[in-house]
Amino acid sequence: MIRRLILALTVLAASAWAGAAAAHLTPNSEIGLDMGRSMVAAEVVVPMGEIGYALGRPTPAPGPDRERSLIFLRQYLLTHMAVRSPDGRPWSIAVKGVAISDDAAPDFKARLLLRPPPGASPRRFDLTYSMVIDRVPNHFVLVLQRTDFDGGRLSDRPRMIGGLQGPVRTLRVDPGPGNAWRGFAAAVGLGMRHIAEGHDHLLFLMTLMLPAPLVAIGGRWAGYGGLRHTARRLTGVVSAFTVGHSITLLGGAFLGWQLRTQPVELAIAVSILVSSVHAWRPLFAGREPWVAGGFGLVHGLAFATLIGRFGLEPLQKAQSILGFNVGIELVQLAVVAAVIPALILLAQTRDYPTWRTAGALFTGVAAVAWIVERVGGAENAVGRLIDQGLTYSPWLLVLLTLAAVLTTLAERRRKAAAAPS
Amino acid sequence: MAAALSALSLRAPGVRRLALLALATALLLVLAHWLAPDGDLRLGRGHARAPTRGAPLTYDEAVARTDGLITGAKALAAVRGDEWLVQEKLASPQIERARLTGDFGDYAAAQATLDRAFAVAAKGSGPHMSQVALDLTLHRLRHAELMLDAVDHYAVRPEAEVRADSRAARGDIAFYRGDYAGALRLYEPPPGSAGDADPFRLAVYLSKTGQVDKALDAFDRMQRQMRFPTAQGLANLDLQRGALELQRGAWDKATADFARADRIFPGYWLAQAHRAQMLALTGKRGEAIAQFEAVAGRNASPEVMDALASLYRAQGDYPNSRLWSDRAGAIWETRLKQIPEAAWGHAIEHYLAFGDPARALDLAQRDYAARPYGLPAIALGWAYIANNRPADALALMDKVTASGWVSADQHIVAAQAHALLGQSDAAEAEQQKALAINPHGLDRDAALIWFGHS
Repeated sequence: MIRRLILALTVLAASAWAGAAAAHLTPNSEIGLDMGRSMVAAEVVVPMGEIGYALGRPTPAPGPDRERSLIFLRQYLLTHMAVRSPDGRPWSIAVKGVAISDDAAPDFKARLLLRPPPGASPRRFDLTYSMVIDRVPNHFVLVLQRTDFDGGRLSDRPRMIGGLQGPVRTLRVDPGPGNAWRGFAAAVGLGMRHIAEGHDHLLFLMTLMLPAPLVAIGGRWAGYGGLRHTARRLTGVVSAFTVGHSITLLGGAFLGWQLRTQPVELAIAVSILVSSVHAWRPLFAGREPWVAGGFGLVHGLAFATLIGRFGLEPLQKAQSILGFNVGIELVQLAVVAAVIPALILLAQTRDYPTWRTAGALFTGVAAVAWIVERVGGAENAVGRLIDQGLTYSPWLLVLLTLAAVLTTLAERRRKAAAAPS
Repeated sequence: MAAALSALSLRAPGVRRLALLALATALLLVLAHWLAPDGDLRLGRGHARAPTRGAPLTYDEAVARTDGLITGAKALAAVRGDEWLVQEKLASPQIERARLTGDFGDYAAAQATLDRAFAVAAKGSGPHMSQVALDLTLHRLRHAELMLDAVDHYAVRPEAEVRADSRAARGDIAFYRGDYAGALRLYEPPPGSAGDADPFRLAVYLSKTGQVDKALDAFDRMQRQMRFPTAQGLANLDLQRGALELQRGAWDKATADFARADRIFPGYWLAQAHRAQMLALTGKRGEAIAQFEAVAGRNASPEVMDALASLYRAQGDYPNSRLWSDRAGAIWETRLKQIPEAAWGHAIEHYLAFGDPARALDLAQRDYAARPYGLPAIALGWAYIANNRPADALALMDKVTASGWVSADQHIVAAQAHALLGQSDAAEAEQQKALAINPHGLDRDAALIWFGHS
């Protein structure tokens, strides 16, 4: 028995101790590249701890020491970095800004503009870099392509180009040829994906659509207002939302209008809550376009945080915004086209108040869950569940349409049965 | 009455509306339940079980108890030292103490005692199974195998319990040699025998072959099967659970598991080190440093010192980083001399982060030669990368993946190797594989993970 106990416990202990090297052991540096038509923007991020380790001295605390340190680090970077065209001609490197972040593990950050010599392609060059890696052999520098409009690469997720470590200090960057059409098509795709996957935007729109076929009488939603009424209301809501988000999208991208992400996301969740209450009891009947436009301004700020950084030059930026907006509108129209027949059918049945109330309840719960998440900065089970559920929204639309057809048929049979023979 | 029933009739519009609303809500709930993935909304695992009061309830009590047993056994061995069973009785608490403290001196003492036992044992007898247990802990697979061969050649057939242990230990050897399917076969009872595989070993197998939920189920089963669960055993199970959660990026769950281990078995330095690490990962670096320093003050664990040095390094505090990495380095050097094969696998990390990459490569190659399974292979992969041998790292990671081993780390190594070779699409693909297993795998703070990332 003792033997068995020893063996079992020892294996248990052995496993508890099995922490041999398996993680990457030091924080990486990163060089992020944004490809333009005439230049490349680079952001170099180096953990200050690694710089301190390489140089054998502590990281300076915020204050005058840190300011002096920035001057040194700027120079240190420039003497440890070079860019050349494949024919060997050097590129110019202009430092647009250097900073040290103030978080618990500070980073040195430098923004650079890399310009090729006359006649050289900005899409093909050799990057040589040796900051930290010349002294810390296991330090790794990840080189990433962040955006490349002409290459059709507009994504939140940077693409890895390569790595530098130890004696490997030069990397060929060559993303291949590009053109404006690829960038525009990518922006359309991004807009479509963003609106299709951004459940909150679509849920807001759908919640506003719930009472669209109805007329409000005496502070309550009454019966079906007819096809023309529905079409007018829908056109107003969708157009106003589009105008609203386009204004802030343009302002955010070109004029630098910005709000912190958290309040914008919070306001979006609040807009859904307000819409859900309105779907239950009319709060602003007849003025939906104004509300849609107003909240569209908020949603546009969220879009701007995404699209604003794509395209280095003004023309690229304009093309990316236009493409992004086209993508958003295409999906919006598709959703309206898919939902509205079912809503029109249901609105003509006497069960519609129940459907509308259930819809308002669901979106209200979703909005409250998202508000709690966005205030607290932590996911909750309800929000997660709703997000997961909404990934099945195409199927939910099919179910809604089926339910609308069945409910309408049942209503007709009921009416036929009740009619005098 | 009839009027009341009529009012409640489904034909009444108000009631019908309510019924439809209830139906819609029920449908939503059913849909929600159907859509909810198993893992995310699952209730917490490892429901609390009270430890038996017949075993030490705290770390200090446990160490004091083993010290008492060692003192008693030494007194007995002083009188009857020529009996191998008496020596084995001394080795047992020594192993237990080593397991608690992680002190290589305790392991060396246990080995010395077992050596004395074999010296006095008659040919064909001796503490072979205790030696197997120690060998497996100290990564001596070949020696463990020789011990098991000796058991197989006992003049008298060993009792069923020893035979089962022997078979399971051969399974462990197969596992540590990278033959996971072979290990599983040996963990299962032999054909024609009743019973199930040892849930702990099965859990380890499952966790390393990408079946984490099943592994957690096996740990739960093991906990339920414990007739008298010790505080130490329960705490170790929680550390295992937490490590699995950590490896799939569920930092909240890992934090909860490590906290429970600390609560169940108070004073256990390993649980406290895991907790300190989670503090660091959640941005509470000041608290993490204080807790790591407190642990390092009580237990001279070089892993804790390395974690501390890494944390100071991330903070930009070079002098303190250097202080703790130097202290850890001195202990690793001692351990490499004391029990080299047991130290290789653990010291690699120190030399990769703070020392000479060539030394790390040497240790990693030795460790992999002794234990050619997933974990040492990944460590060797990192060492190849640190020594500018990305192609070798890549070839090794391909082998690891082909063997059935599943971890985010093997894909992170492969991604880095591809990146160094300029193979960006392949690097990207490997990164995605890593993130699919552990969404936090590429986080910058993941560099602060020193415990539970096996």
